[in-house]
Amino acid sequence: MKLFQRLIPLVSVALIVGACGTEPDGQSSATTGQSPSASSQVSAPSEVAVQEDLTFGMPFEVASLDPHRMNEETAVIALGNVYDTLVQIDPADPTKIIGRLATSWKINDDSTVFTLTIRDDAKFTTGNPVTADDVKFSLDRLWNLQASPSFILEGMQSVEVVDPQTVTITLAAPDAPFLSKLAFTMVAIVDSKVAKEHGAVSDETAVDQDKAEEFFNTTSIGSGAFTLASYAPNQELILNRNPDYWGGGPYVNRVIMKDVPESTVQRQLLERGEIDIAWSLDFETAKSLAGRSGMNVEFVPSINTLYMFFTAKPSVSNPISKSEVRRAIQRAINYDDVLALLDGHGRRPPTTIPAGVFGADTVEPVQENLDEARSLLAAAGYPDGFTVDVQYPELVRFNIDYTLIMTKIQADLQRIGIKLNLQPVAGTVFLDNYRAGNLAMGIGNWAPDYVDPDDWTGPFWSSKVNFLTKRTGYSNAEVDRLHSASIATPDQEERRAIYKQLQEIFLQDAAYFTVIQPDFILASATRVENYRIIYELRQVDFSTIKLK
Amino acid sequence: MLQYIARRVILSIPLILGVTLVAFLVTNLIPGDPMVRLLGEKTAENPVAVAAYAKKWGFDQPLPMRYLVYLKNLSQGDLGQSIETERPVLEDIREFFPATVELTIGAIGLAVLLGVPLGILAAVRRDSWIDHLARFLSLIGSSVPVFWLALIAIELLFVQLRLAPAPGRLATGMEPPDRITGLYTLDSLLTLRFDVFWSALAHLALPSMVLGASVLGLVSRMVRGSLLEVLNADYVRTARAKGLTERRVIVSHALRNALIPTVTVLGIVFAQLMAGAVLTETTFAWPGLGRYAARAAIGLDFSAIMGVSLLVGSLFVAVNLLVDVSYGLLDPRIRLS
Repeated sequence: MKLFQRLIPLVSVALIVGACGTEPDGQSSATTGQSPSASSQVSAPSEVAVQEDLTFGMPFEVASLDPHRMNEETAVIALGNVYDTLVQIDPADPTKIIGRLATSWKINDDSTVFTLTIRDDAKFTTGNPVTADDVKFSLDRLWNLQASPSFILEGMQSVEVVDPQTVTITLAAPDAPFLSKLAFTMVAIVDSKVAKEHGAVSDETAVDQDKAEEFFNTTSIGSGAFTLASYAPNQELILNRNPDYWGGGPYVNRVIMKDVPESTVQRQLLERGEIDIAWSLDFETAKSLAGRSGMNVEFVPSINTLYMFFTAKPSVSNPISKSEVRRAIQRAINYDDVLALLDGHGRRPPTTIPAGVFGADTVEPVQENLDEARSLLAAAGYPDGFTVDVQYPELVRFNIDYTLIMTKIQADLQRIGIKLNLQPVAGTVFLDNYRAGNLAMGIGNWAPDYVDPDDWTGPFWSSKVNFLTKRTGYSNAEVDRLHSASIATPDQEERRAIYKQLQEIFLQDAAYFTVIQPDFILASATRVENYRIIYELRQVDFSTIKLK
Repeated sequence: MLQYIARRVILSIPLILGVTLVAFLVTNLIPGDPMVRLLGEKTAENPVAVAAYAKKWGFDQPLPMRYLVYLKNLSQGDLGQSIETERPVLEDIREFFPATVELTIGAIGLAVLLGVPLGILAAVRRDSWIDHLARFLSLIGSSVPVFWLALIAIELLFVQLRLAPAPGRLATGMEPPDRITGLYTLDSLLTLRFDVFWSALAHLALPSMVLGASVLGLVSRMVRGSLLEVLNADYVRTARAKGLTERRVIVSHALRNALIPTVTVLGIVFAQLMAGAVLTETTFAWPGLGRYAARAAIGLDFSAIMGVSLLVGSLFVAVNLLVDVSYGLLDPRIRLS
């Protein structure tokens, strides 16, 4: 077992894959949406001057290259450029949904029927046109594979082909944010004809009858700006330019994604011009690079969050199960110091809904206030504080070391008499205990799956959705009622009012709160133009990137 | 001799079975749910998906049953499917192991090429500057953390002096040679792709040096120590008395005997490095077995952990056997029976 001793502590690979959500959406409100065809993306695919290769360095995370099975970062970034989705998040305003393969849509009054019109000029790289049949096949397959990304279509009842360019999606219950879920990379539209020829299945039997994964691992059958050229595990993934792309561009000839596990080595490669983009520099490395000639380092707002969670079960921890104690903890943390751990590159929203997401700004964040914290503790019957065991995973997430954050919080809470008995454990152990509902309090992370406040409301607070509440035992009938109302109404003003009410309860109950919303670090050579993270977090649009 | 080898091979079978059993128990008893890893936290809340995948991956069977199924598959050469890469473990090992073999050969090759002469010189010119230099080098090699050394080497030789190519196995975007052995240097020669050969060789140099540094110190100290010991032996005095040149005395008489402990140690180091040098591989973006094993351990990837344990167990058995056999070659007085 010598092997494991050496291995286990080694790589702090982010273990917790997949807790995700996305967000924006201010816009699903209207019953009709329109693709802003004025955007540069939809300019006619006239002659494009083909440029050199773009190289992109990141620690590889790939399990599958099947767009309906994948959920790892590298695969998602790569294939987001290979397969188109129906809609996308507006790069200019992440609270808006704009069209991609869909040119327009209609949503019925109670947000249960979504009718989308598919553009008629999009073709797969196989030569077949993109039709409503392909959309139906792709959505059905994603759901019926019951694989890691399938959850995004939870609640989808049926997909009907109305005519070759029109498709109707019917949901079991009202879900206004559903449109924004269609921007999720894995709601990828594949060529159904070719997929079926290679063993792809979309009906209920897909979970064990679908045999197309191997095919998808070596080939691509999308309509996106690039095609999958080759993949060598832990080495390189190469995308070739699709010269017939319907959306204009792409400009670079190939995108070569290189596996570079170490942040420092990413910096070194960037400095020497071996790579054009370094995906995951840590804050310290980014700081050392900022301002150097030939380098662009930008800190851009993300909607990733690190949050604290608390049990509502007295059997797990009597003090923590009292909301006064949780509010006291929330007021005993010095958030400026936390932000300083990130060199100031982050934000803090009032509740679990990240800053910048629709509805988040309807209430004000809680400030550090030790007197108030002490009186809250006294009101809960713990004037002298208490001691509590806190397990946390030894991870680095969003470039933040959990150990640093937890020791900081430990020191802060000490000031009001709460002693945290910190117990660092492996990520898998932590997740097991968290899922089993055994933890009094702790720290977790959340990256969006869809950009709507619902992604930080339903899974966190609603005991009907019962995702995190299953772990914390939290339940509040009023929250459940408001949450149901929030996804049933397409009216934005109405939704805003509901989120204000919800967030006021969140502040009062304090079952979770956001500790920090760290910025994302964009680092590239200055010859790279138009590099940005578009739509939701894990998408980078290579089709708009130009080299100077 | 052949009989001896055959007996050793047969005796190693229960040993390797034992390795599989221990690996199986440990990977199954440590906490952590592989289904969450496989399905993601959200889909893992869906009972339909969990049941379907438990069936697919065999998690619905009781533990002893799963072990028996594993052994049965193993007897047919099937190592199972990796959760992390969703490919057969055998295919993964075929993909990643050659990279580690190439790196290990490079590292040990460099260490022996430099370490043996250095050790000899240090012994012959004891307490001279070269002896001090050898001691200094071995101290550095064995005490400096390898990831630090790797980062410094990359900063100096790649970023600043531009002597070494970027981390990785080949130049960016270069197509790997057709797979024959999986060793890029060898395959590129066999397929006459000399540009690939030079690229592969150049990319191999720096990680080999870094990984070889710790071995170098070990080799030179071992050679020096054992050579000093035999230089005082009677037969060396006899050789000198016969009027042989000092060179002949050392190379033909003393060194052969002095190499025995070095070979033993090298064998063990070789097997250890073959198991994958995780830190070196990670820093140099080297797609080797070490990183694969590390990912498997973190991801509770049972089949992959079992596959790697089996491979590494077999390697140690094989290397020990080879070392024992080589004793006979180095010292004809040693008879294997």
